[in-house]
Amino acid sequence: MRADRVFVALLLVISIAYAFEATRIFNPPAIADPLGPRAFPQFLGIVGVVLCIAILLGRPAEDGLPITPTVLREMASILAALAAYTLLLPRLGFVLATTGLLTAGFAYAGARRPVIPAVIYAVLVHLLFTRLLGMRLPTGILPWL
Amino acid sequence: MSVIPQLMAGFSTALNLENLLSAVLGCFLGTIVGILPGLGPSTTVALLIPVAFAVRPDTMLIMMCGVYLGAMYGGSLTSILLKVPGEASSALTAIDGFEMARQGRAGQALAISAIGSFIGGTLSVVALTVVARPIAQAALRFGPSEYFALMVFALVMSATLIGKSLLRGFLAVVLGIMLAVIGSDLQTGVPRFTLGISELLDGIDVVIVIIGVFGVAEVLYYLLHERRVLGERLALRGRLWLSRDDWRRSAPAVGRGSVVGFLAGVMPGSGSTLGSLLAYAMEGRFGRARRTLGTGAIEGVASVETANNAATGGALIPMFTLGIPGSGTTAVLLAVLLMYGVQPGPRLMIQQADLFWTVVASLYISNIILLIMNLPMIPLFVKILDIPARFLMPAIGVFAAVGAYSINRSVADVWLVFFFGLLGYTMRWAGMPPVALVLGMVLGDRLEQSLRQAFILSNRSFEFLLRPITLVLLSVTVLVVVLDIVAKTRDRRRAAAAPGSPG
Repeated sequence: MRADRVFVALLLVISIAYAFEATRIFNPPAIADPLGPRAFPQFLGIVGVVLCIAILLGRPAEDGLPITPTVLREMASILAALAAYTLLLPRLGFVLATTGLLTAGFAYAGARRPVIPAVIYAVLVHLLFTRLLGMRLPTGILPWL
Repeated sequence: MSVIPQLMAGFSTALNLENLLSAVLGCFLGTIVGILPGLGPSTTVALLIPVAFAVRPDTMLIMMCGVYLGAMYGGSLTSILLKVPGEASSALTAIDGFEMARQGRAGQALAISAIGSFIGGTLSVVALTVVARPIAQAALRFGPSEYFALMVFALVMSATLIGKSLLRGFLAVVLGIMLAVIGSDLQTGVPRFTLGISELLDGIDVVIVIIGVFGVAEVLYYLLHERRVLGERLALRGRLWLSRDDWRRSAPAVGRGSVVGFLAGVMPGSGSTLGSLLAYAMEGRFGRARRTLGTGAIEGVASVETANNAATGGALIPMFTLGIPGSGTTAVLLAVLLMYGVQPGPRLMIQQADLFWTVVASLYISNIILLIMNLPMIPLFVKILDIPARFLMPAIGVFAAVGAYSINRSVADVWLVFFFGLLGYTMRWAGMPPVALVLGMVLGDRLEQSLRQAFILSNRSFEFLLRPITLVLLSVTVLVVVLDIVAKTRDRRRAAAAPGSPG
């Protein structure tokens, strides 16, 4: 099974769900607006379904990426890291969570000493956004940062 | 009354110390705003409103116009260097611009985007000076049905231009429009596809989708498929400045971009994203870069950056002469005008001639300020690429997350930006162009609204499709699709015939 096919099949399922959900949109009495809020998304869902089927029946993608089990495994671990980051962001605060994510990211990408650049970058971005631009980032357990 | 003496009077007001300083400040703020994803020009202009009570109208408008122009210049910077566009209108810059940076030509990409912005911005002010009134009147002939046809045209263009498969391009556009529909319906307020989640009532922010499918997806792509590159840096080759060949290739693209961008800007409610898309489409169809567009062609950067700046000048015309804002930012400008008791409309150029011409003069000045501010900074900006890719790529991921968070200060947006990163990356499994999804999302709202309005106006029938301008636009669209199918079939045959090439 090619990754190309799997992804388009997934989009087919999404399009079917979209078309189905579109029929449940509340259509107010059509005095001023005869097409209403329902017609257009229904049409979109159907077009999406037709396109997905046409692609699945046709030639495989010429310029799709080569997907191996290794790529999928690594992708899963990157996604897990991103999910952990987003979960920990409000709890640990921006600087700690970002230092953690960057250390893992730098090390994964092949850096031999990932911790110090991770700390520097996290603190710099934090200072840029909070001190210079007056935006607030989650502080978490380090209230002074 | 002749234009020249009035414009000269405008220059003398715009060049006094206070106004000049506010132009510089506005340009500087705008550039920063353009660089940062998540903070758009319309928000920044709106944030300046409280300052408006303290200064004179001309000073205020000059600063706001500076922000507006500066944001257009700054948006290209992160698109080219990091593939994280700050605004929708520089999304297309990321395609060829980032490719150029990968090939060691970041300096040239930044230079042509600053120069193209300057030329496009200045030419559109010249046009604003000379033909503001007749153009505004002509633009009024564009009703909902013409808009609908224009949106169909633009979306079909974005589906056919990028990527090898027509069907996959269309699917990407349709997915984008599907995302645009999510949220409260603009005409009736009925919630659509919100799944009971109240955060979705306002819809999904376009900028989050853009940062995700471009920036985050690019990081995923590099980490998973370009491990070899991670040890290297995106080195700069040769000099930073444009070669004679670069100039020769960019000049026609800048010319076309200026005209297309200006005209798109003039039409109420279309703005600079549409202008940049149409200009890019022009290059893809008629330019010399037909084959190389998307692979780091300087024409791609030149046309998009010229067009989105040319659109800013164009968008001011309907605002000043008709009181109809052409974009989010001009809508805020309009509110400021009204706040000062200035009534926009055909009589504004007579009753408020001083103010009008001062603002026009300041636009010339701001374009020059931005060119002077941006060109010498290029060697500094490209230093970012001295960072080895193994450090740069994770850092871009974090930058994208902060950008998404800062829009609404919401962790939910961080989830969304990572989700769209995954979507943008997996679209590349299937050879679907993420940029087509973005354009579908940006233009989708207006496609639906114009369709519904046109349907009402032609007595609940599809007769509006037969109006002359509409019919011409739709016929051209069909022609484009047919020509594209013919060209792609021929390419495929040729590739199959050539020995040793993979299907």
